[in-house]
Amino acid sequence: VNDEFLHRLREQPPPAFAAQLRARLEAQAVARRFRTRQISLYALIACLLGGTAWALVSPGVRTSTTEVIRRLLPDAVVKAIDSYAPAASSGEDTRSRQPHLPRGSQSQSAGEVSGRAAAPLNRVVAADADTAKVGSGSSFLTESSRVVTPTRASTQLAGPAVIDVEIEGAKVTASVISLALKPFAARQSQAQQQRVRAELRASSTERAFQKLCAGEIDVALATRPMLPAEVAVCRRANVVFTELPIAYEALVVVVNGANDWAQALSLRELGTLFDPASQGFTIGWNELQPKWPTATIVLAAPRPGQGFQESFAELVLGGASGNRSDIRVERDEVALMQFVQRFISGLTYLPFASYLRSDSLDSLKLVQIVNSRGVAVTPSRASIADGSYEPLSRPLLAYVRSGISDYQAASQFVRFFLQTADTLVSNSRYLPLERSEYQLADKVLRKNLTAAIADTADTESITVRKLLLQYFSGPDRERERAELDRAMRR
Amino acid sequence: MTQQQAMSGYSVVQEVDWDRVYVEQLPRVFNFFRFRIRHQQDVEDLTARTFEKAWVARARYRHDVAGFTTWLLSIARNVAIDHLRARQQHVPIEVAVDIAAESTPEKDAMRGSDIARLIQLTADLPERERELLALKYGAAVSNRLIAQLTGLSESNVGTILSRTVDKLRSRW
Repeated sequence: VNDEFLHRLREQPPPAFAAQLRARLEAQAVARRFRTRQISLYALIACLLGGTAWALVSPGVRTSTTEVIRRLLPDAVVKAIDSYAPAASSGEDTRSRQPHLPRGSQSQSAGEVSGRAAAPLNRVVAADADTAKVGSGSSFLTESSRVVTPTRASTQLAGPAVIDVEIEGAKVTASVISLALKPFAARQSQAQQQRVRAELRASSTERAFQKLCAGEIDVALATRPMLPAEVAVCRRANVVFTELPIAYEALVVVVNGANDWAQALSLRELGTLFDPASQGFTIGWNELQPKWPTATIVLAAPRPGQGFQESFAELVLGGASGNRSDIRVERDEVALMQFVQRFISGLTYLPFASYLRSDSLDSLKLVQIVNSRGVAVTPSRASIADGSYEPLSRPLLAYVRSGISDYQAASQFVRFFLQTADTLVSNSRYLPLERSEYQLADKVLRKNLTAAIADTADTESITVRKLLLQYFSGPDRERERAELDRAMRR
Repeated sequence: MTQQQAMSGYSVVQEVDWDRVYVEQLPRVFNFFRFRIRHQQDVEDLTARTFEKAWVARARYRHDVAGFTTWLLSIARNVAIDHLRARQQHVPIEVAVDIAAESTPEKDAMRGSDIARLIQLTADLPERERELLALKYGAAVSNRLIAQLTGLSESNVGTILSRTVDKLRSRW
């Protein structure tokens, strides 16, 4: 049969298609393996917990275990135990036995127990600076956690007077401020006359503003500027404060370096991809933009509880917590970047600062984000500083209460942060301000300047420069602006 | 399979080397669809769907029952049947296209129009003959394997193909 003309019609599949299909199959394999492992792990944990609970609850099992242990132990040891605690050897419930203590000791013991029960359960008190969870870029504070420095014990000794500075606010901003706690404590431990003890609590921006205006704390930490209504509350209570930027939080969306189609994404598209409500649906690139390939988007996200995961949920998903369970979850940003490098259809988000520190930027590509004005903006230091890369970047703010007796102490800590922030923040997940901006903020605190920020209704377009220059007017303002420009050019 | 296993009725399920399978079978499946479906986008979609189905169902593949190519092509046939059935509800005849409208670079245009021309020429052939052509010249499998897949005898497959190719050559 002369069928050569039919054989000639065969051809190889396009290489791009072959690569994309392979990536999609690999992604499915990874997701499946991960799900299987997760189920096995949960089953194992459930079995262990169930077994332990059963063993603890069942008196028969407990008695048998005791018997087995007694048989294994040497006779001399068993006798010694019996003579010390005869009730235990006969299998009696030891919970019913009370220690024979003097009356005074009993009341003291009861007092300790009731005191412990009265303490808030979700509040962790770190006994000293060395054990406190502070000082690293990856550190994060649990909700309502409290970091105290320096040690309580040291403050009770005879020596210099101690002034407490109460700081509270948004978890993200508290993470930034916490970078200075340990070095500050170290410096304070050498103070001869007076020591400042900084107490930091992570709660929320709203809660911090309420407490600041009620005069309960000295420094409020925020992820957004104070709203006019909140300023009005402060004004009614005669609370005056200084508003200062301390760093930037900026998140970026990255794809594989070979991905030459995904240039820009809108918040709505990001929301569709990562919303837990999209669980169970595979989304192709062409569903975002018809001209893009049909390949399925392979998503990865950080573990829930990571600061930037929560920020992304707040900014993009409107506060929805948790991840889709059918996407890849990685332990940190390094693993997220490695994931995207492996898959041409990969997509994830991470802190811009972590991205900048990566040594494999060639194999990753930043995606532009369509801001609230409908403009696609590439993440960069410039677009973050001028406020156009929003809403995935924002200045983090500190509000220092002034006009109080402890102002010097409060400003002492914040000024310490501002003077060292350049180095401290550079190694974290956040972006530092320019050095000249930190210097200007320090100057504002040193001079105890306040501004009429109550009338700032336009909170959306706030920039670091605008925040800092609000404390100056007339020629002073122009001089400071020129100084900032000169420093930027340098 | 060891003698003992054979006697006890168990079969050996061999591990499939997916890397090798992917490289070998992708052109086969891809061309099978090219010989049946006109649109390149549909061809890629159906190829991807076939591999995804095979991947999900890989645990059910029995090495002792059928060769991997047979198994994969039977999935591809089902995918093609589903697609054509769905398409017939919207488009009465998929070859009602103007192949002269193709505009690609020269060589691609030649190939593209050849395959489109084949689809047009086979439009009036019975479904069975079109499928045999796609299996023989697209998937490039033997008459014996085609016979296994379609349930026809090997000689019958040869006869039908020979007759169909003669008919096509005269019109080409």
